[in-house]
Amino acid sequence: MDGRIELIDATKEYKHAGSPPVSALNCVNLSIRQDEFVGMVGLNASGKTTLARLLNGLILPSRGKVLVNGLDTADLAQKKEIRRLVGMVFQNPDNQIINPIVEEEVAFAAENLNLSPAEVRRRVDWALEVSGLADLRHHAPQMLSGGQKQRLAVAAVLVMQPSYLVLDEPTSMLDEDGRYELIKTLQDLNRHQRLSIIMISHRMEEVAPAERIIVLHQGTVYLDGPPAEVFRSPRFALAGLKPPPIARLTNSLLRQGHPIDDRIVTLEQMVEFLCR
Amino acid sequence: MLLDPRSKMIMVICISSLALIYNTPARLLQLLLVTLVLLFIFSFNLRVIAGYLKPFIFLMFFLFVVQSIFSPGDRVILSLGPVSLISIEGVLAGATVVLRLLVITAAAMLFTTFSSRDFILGLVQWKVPYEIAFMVSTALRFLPLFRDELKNVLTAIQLRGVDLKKVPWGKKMVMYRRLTFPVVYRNMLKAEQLAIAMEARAFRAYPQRTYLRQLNLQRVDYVVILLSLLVTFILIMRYIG
Amino acid sequence: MPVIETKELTHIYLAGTPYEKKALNQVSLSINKGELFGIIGANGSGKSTLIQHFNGLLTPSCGTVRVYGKDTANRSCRNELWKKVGLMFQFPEQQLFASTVFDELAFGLKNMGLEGWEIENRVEEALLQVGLNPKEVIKVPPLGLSGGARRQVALACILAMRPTILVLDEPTAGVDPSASEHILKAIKKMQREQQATVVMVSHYVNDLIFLADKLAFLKEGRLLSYGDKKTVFRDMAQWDVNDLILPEHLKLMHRLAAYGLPVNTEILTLEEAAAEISRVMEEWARCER
Repeated sequence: MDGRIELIDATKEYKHAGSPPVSALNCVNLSIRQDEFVGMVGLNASGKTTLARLLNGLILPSRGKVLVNGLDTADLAQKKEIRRLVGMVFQNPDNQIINPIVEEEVAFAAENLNLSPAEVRRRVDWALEVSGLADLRHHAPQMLSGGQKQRLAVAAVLVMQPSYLVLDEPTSMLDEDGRYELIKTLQDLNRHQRLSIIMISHRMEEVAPAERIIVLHQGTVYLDGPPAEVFRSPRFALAGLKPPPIARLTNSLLRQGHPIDDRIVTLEQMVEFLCR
Repeated sequence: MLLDPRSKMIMVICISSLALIYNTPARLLQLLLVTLVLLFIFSFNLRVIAGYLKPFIFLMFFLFVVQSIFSPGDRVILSLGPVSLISIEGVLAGATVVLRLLVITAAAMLFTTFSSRDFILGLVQWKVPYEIAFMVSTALRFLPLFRDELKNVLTAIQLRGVDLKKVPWGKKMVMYRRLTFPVVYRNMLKAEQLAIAMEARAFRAYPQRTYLRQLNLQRVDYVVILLSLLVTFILIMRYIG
Repeated sequence: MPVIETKELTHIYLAGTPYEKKALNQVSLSINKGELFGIIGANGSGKSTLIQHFNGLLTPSCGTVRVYGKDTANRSCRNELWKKVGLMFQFPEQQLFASTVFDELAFGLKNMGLEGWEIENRVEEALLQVGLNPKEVIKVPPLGLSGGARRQVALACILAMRPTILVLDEPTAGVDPSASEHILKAIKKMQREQQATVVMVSHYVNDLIFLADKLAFLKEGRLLSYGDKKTVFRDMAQWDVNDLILPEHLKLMHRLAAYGLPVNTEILTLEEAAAEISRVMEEWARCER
């Protein structure tokens, strides 16, 4: 199905008593396809988190519209369907996990959807499998590592069979192992399950493998395009950001006149290019 | 032994009722022993309980002393001049209070021998609305988080030069009071994040929800429930009569 | 001259219980005055345990820790350490509790016995050091600031006490690049201008390449390598099986070398990596002609 999430002139303002309203997002127009892997970056207060919350209707725009596969997030009757279509994972796994057993945690969302017990069981098994947690199904979440907990949070959302997965800085509290596991899981989900991944991160190396990067700055979309282009754009530095090491390497080599592919931004791409 | 959580709940209620009614240290001690035996049967690790209770020993002792002093009695053990401080009755009264507290705490630990999900499930099958059961269970889950938050902030204070052991009690109280706000606030933020995460997982999106497992009261459960109620009833009657 | 010295430092949590865990195993290192000492390791490697020994929060199960020559097992030594050793935990914003930023910073200063005007001066100074504007934030409740700003406030709290040793556990974890820059700048400035000794635990090994004078690599409680950067990175490549902790450009060098390309894996900076690849590519271009 050719679904997409569309933001049309979306604006979000917060009113504080006694001062003019603060604009977190200003007239944003964006369209994300159902199988895209998108990285979203920007400084704090750039509007990233606000935008992420608009995508599944957790918050509604002050002006403009947000459409998920054609459904308006402002339409209360569609709330259930939208929540099912767009799953969300947050920064701190400890504030998302409610149940004392992994399997039960994953089942939670499916149960809330009032599916038949057989269907719930089927989905739980599938979600545990694709998140790599099948062996841990009877464990207690508190005993898991940070990376495993975040994958659990992903599995708990996958069980709703969403089309889009939004992750708000999912790796900031993880160490290298955890980060590596989580991102690999997300890439597999995007490639094999055709799930759209929208990941917010501070670390450019993490979003470099994405097919598209959206840079937010002061509430607007500052840059939007393939990673190599975005990293190379002078506006990138203006947004207060620095390209990841490999991208800088590529740019440096290009400047020296070497025949290097200008789309190289990740380690894997560089190794592949140089070792062929 | 796999008992339905509801049978355990009934047991806890029975034990707590007896604890509130019994008024002598001897009986409360017996009750405490019975409770500990029950906890042991449900494979509860007694060492873990001991670990949990250690920080409260001082408080318990303090409580014991205070109760003993403030409960008047005839057979005086310790006196300061003409003023009688501690009497035997006082000591017994102190022991009663502490033991009662211990029994209720131990009984409450039975709640930890089953998962919160089974707890909710049990209540729902007894027609308690899902939301309420869920709220109770989550609230219980939040208690240790309060403790962790408090520990965090206390560490911060120690890092900035406050030696907790040297602070006089009066000042300590003031300090705890000032810390209450940020600790509570932060826990509320956590609760809010949890609520958002749950909403994102379709919590209460549909009026009905499925339950993956079914809890069935087995024969052994009925036996336990009936026995607990019967025994409690008999004991209460004998005590009153 | 070593300001911090550990000899065969071993730390066991909950010794004697079934939950016993050896967090540190015979760690011996020394940190000199004015150095910026970086500590690298995965979660569970014992990093956080190690730094808590440096201000006396923890005492060794075996071995010794000496700060400014005094043994931390000594109680009176520990009581004085908090003034000299400023320790900032991971995610320090979780420990903020006062009703205004000013009160937050003033708390520690009052405990040091400083006067009102001195406190005000130091508060302003510390806030400027971390890149915040005192006029904007002084009356604001810390819990009302953004994540990055709260981190900056937490650092300011420590800097206001003017410690001579600064110990930081993941000071830039989870904050955006802008706040991160302010924090690292403040740390480097303090080291340069006040000759403070800085011990920094960090996952952001890239930052440590620029900032650190010496490094230590911990794995499962053991000190596997310590000393100058090149040596430690070389050792890390051996132990770091998944090659995860090394910064991207070093990982690249190792991968290329493993493939047979004649690159020098003992480089440190991105520029050096670029130079290496450039050299190899020129070689290829020459061969093709």
